[in-house]
Amino acid sequence: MGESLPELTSASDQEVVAAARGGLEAAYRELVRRYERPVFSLIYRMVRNRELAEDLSQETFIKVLNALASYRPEYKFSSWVFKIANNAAIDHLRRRELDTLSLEGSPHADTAEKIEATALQIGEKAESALDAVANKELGSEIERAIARLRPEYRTCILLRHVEGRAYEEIAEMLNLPLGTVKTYIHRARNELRIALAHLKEGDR
Amino acid sequence: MTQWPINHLTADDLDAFHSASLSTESLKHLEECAECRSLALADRALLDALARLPSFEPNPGFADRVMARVQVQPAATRAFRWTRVALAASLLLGIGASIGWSLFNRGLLLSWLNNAAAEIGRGLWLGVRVLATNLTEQPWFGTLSQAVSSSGRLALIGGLLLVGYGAAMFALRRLLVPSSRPVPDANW
Repeated sequence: MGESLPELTSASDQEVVAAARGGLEAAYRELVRRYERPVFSLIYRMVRNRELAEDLSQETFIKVLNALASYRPEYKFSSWVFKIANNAAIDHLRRRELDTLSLEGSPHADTAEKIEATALQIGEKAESALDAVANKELGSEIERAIARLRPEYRTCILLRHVEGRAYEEIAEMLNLPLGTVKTYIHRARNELRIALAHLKEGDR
Repeated sequence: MTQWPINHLTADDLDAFHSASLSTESLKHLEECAECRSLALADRALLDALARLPSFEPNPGFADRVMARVQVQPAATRAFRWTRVALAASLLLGIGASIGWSLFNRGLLLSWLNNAAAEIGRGLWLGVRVLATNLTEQPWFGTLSQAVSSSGRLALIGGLLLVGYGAAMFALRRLLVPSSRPVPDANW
């Protein structure tokens, strides 16, 4: 099994998937190795909690690897993985309404009470070690601006400009019309430009 | 003097600007329009910043934790799949061969079928006779035979059976009619 490892690292996704379907455990590990960072990064930026992101990433890979038999090779493997990862993150956000956890309160909150209730109360509770890590890792202005975007804008902008996926691929992953994906991405860019405009002014 | 509308850069133009495929017309506009130039540069700076964002790594041992909860399909499953394919192929081959054989041996096949049909017919007739003999040998057969020997009694029994059947059907229909009473609201 160890002998096949160097071959696997240079093989295409489709070849690795075929090897995994043949029962090669090293091929399963190779698929995890290839996608653990992008999948974890995407989910982490979506949910902004390291422990949770790791759980959801695990869930994603377990789903992917246990369903390899149903994977259709005519689709890009990466698209399939990101689709499952995004669904896991969005499902979680919907379930727990974590998207309301922003420094300014929920973007959907329409009253002062709701805004206060959904805002992160800094200093109110002792910061856990994991929160501290997340704050350090995702604490830059741009990360915070991304966090304030609507979840669907966030997914689109991360997939397009952080993961470098094509518009068409994102549309396929998210089951959205191409025009909608373009609109989401351009609106997200507009919001980010506005949110970060003061940095540019400060540079001058 | 006619004032033409100003065609500022669209979202697609911005994408074209980043991939250095902006049309000559739009490039000309970009040179002249400070607003669009500023927008394009700010957008480029944003895309650069997004591309520079670090990727994060899960905690060490992530792959092991995933693999502990994944069922690696053993190669045996694949072999089993091939066995099934082979079985299906042999079945199809067998059916094909038998069809081919019967086309070339129609006489023999027909004689077999005729023999089989005759044997089945004989068997069925024997069964009917055994059943009839058993029935006539029963101790109550004589009484029953006497009871239906006159046409008047036969008509009476027939009439009673018909009335019983009608009553049973009527009762069954009453039972199957849904209740006309309203169902209480379950507050769902």
